[in-house]
Amino acid sequence: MSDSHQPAASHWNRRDFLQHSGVGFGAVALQWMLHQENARASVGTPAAHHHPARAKHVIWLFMEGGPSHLDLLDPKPLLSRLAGQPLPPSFKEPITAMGEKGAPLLEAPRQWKRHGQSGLWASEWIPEIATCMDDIAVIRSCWTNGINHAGGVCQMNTCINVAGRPSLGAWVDYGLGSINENLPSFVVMCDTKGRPVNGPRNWGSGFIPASHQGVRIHGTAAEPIAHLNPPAEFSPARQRDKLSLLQKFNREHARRHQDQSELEARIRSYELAFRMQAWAPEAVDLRGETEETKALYGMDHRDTETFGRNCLLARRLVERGVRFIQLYCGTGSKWDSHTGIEANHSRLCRSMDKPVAGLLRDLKRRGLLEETLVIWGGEFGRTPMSEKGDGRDHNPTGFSIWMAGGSVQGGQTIGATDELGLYATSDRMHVHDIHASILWLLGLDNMVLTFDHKGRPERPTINEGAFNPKLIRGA
Amino acid sequence: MVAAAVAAIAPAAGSDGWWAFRPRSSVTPPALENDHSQTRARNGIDQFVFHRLAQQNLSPAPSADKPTRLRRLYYDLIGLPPTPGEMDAFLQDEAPDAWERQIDVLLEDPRYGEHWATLWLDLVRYSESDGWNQDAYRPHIWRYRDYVVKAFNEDKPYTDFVREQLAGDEMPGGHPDHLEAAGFLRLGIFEYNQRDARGHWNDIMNEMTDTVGDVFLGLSMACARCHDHKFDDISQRDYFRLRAFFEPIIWRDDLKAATLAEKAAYADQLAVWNEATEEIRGEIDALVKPYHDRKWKTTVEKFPLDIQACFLKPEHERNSWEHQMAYLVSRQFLEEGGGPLKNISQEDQVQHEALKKKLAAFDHLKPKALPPVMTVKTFAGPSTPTTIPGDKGKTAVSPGFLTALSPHAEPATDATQLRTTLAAWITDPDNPLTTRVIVNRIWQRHFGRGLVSTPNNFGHKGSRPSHPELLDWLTERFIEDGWRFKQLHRLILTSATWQQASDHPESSNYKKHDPENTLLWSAPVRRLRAESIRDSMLHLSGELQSKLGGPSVDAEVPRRSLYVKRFRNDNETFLHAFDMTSGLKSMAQRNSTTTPTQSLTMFNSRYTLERAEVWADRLCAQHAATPSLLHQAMRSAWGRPPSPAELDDALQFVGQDPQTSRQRVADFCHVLLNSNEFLYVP
Repeated sequence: MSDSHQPAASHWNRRDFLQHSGVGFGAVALQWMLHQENARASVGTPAAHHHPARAKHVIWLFMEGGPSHLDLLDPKPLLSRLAGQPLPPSFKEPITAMGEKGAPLLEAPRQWKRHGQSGLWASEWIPEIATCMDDIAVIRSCWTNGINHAGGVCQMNTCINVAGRPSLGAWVDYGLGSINENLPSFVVMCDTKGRPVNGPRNWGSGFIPASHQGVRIHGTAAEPIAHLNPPAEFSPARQRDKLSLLQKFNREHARRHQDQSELEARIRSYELAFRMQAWAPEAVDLRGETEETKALYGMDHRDTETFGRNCLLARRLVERGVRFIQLYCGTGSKWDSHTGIEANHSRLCRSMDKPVAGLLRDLKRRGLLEETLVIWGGEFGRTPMSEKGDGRDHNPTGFSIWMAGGSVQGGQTIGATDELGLYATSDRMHVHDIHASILWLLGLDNMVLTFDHKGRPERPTINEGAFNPKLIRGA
Repeated sequence: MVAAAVAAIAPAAGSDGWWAFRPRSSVTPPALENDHSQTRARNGIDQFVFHRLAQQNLSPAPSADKPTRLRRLYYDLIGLPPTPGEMDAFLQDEAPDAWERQIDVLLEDPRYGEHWATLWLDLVRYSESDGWNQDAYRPHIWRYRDYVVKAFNEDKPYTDFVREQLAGDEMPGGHPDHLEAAGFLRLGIFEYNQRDARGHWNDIMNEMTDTVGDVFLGLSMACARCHDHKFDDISQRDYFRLRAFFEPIIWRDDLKAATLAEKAAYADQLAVWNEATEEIRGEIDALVKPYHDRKWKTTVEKFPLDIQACFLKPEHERNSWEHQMAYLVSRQFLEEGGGPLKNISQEDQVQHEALKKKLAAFDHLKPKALPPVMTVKTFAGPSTPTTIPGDKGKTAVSPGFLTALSPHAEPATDATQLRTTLAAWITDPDNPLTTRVIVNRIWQRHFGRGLVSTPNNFGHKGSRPSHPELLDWLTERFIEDGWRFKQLHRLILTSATWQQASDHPESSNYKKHDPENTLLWSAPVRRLRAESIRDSMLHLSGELQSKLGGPSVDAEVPRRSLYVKRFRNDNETFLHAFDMTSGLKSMAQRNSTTTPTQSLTMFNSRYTLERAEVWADRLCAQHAATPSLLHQAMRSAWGRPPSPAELDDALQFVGQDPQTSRQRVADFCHVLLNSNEFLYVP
């Protein structure tokens, strides 16, 4: 693993890009870089691994709204046999979000197959991901506390269902620091114009400084990061003039107030901002990608184009040293299928199956999968009981996610739910354990990483949770 | 009864004698031996600080020059810079009491309350939305914010301030201010759409307890929720004793911020309207009843059976917990998408509209609605006892004070005065903890860090005070002066310590001994708070409206940032880029970050560019000649006249004729808004 930026398979080098790019500030940024190239300092907190890292990057594919584990990764023959009947009395009746009482069990009318050498199960709704099962560890025994979307999404991001704590990406940035100077270290992308449940709070930094919070990138917008460019009427020459006067004033001011490191830091933050101006557009510019690559991600098809683009952007960001990338799929609770799960899930699965498989294949063939942990999952799963006849309610007590790459042992399932997929039964992994495991793979110990808040040592997993060693050893 | 609790404060015999739990020591400021510091010292603060410095062979920085002090004072007290006219007036005032008078002028300025309220609003995690997912806006909670602003401006004694927030609803007379103040107990996050009502309410009560610990006690109580505190003398029982004070609280949305006379007048007029409209209202009620009944049925059925039972019980048979559960069910009815008439038939809809029209014909008789207030009351029926989770015997835990401070006090349990009792204990002059905590907060806001640098944690994991005797002396003064903040401000602001320059000729040397400047050998350089950055831009551009209080506004409205609507889930605003708090947790000290996002926002956002343009227009209208225009601009932004070299640079950038190069003037103003000298106060 190298810490330097790996050039993309592109005929554009960065200097070309800056000189030719139409974005307003390219030239200014280039000037900065030519002057600064030899005088780089590290960005953010210095890297501090607690043990050797297995993974360097995380791409979290967040299926927002809660996909049905019963229809994708966790087949339950008993469910088909008991379909139409009430939940047997041997199962404890859970509190459900929508509160429908005594609803009959709903069949998952899927075709299930075993895949790859490992023979992992996957349904016909994810035929492309199914071909990657040998790289995937399916965790079937996840559970969480939040029974509604706000609590569930909040918990999957911050480890607790109540707002106020830092998101995992912020913790990782705080713990490890950035490995690139030109882009934010924690990036979030959404696949619709809508906003995810809880909004930007999901990638907030809670009580740790705001410099660690996620930055939203809009892959298709002219301005991928908010305020990246000045309004169009500001020519590069005009910006340059302003900038030099500003830096002149600021240097004079700093000279008069020596020993004030914060003033120096702010001067540098302008330089960083300009580097970001130059590099963010380059990072999201797909002109250098081949048609074959784009097709691999499904960008040649309407159904898969949007999420495919975000997956491809995620790979490019990994190549450019972005540490933690979160992609929302079905942004705005679109996976939430209280009614009509067949139509809902078949459409959403189609939109993400090929892009996700494409991402895994592309990372693998570029040698990036080993250092990149890919996580797939929602904030909870869905109930075996029906809702409104043909939908399923939220199931926080047992659901599946999967992980691949980042040294995770693929081709295995970890844990299990009961015979109807309602409760996680063996090797249960709470969100605390999921986060602890992600941190562990990144070289961070969830009990050692602390932030002093109000005199109390705060930990990312709230003093609970443990790494599940099966992830790397194999079950 | 209150007196009994008061007398009971005495550290537990055999307690570890932790400094913050010990009674205040009675101290007099030490005499200064060194002639120079003797001459410099202005009051007791300086005697303590200079004495410590002398012990370490350090000496204080020289006094800051007048323009620097003035700008610092303005930002410290009102969060805005002085205008060039105000600078002139102060600089020309040679009277020996010019500084004291300037302080008084600003303390009497209503903008003082607007600025200092943010200290408290951060602490109480004030926001104006529910949080969770829907993040619904709370249209009436701004009354609590106005209460806080008013309290600062009127210099309300801290004793009253605490009591009104913790127990305003228990005070006699139903004064609107008191109900607004009790809005403190409504500030936590909430979601109507939460089927796990039991867990939801439990979270709300715990969070309320945590916040009270943070805000008033300066202790992280939260640790003791699950186990006896590992570091501090707080048992799990203590935690639940504190929670027990709040256990029978019920939320009220139907009370009005109105005087008794206003309520009586309203009732009289309403009776007139009621009589005139009785028939029509009867028809409307009959029309909507089936829809309401259906909605109630579907709403209630969504909850677990035990919660349904709470709702179905008549109110007079409920205990406080059952009533709280019923309240949560009713919020679901009121707020769930579309309301009960969402699926009204077309025929009924037509009829409904017609009836409403008929009713509207009597609007001239209808009294103007009284302003609603978000507040609390204590449940009138039996209180549900507080129990410790996991206690199989479910032993009731009575309300009680921290054992370490009041080992023998058993507060009276008169349910109508429960929280009043707690407030009295917090503001007991002998309470060694709560009194030091609030004085330290005021000091912190003036100096950027507290004498105890962990203002929300006076426990073992927090820092010890850098100047313990000074803290005790100030606290004693504060109590003697009637628990009023303004007198404390005066004491601090007239000290030579506060008036020091931020640059010390020996700073690189001193930093080796005291890198954090804990001993206060110079003033800190501080970045403007988020609100001050935005407010100052609007102030310079001349757009800032000076309206005090009222409902909050969108960010586009040029009012002080205090009045911009706050949503808990949105942290991507201009103010948040500069570390404004999110209202999710009690925040005693904001982070002060330096990020590329801030630079991009300041340099590229429309918002900042537009402020510069309006400011430029204003300058161009006032000044025919470029040099005077630029001089004025730099002086307004930086609080000092530019040097000849700086003025030259500016002239070169703008050109000679401002009217032909208006764009350059705007660009220049924009550069000033981005400059460190504007963003930092030395």
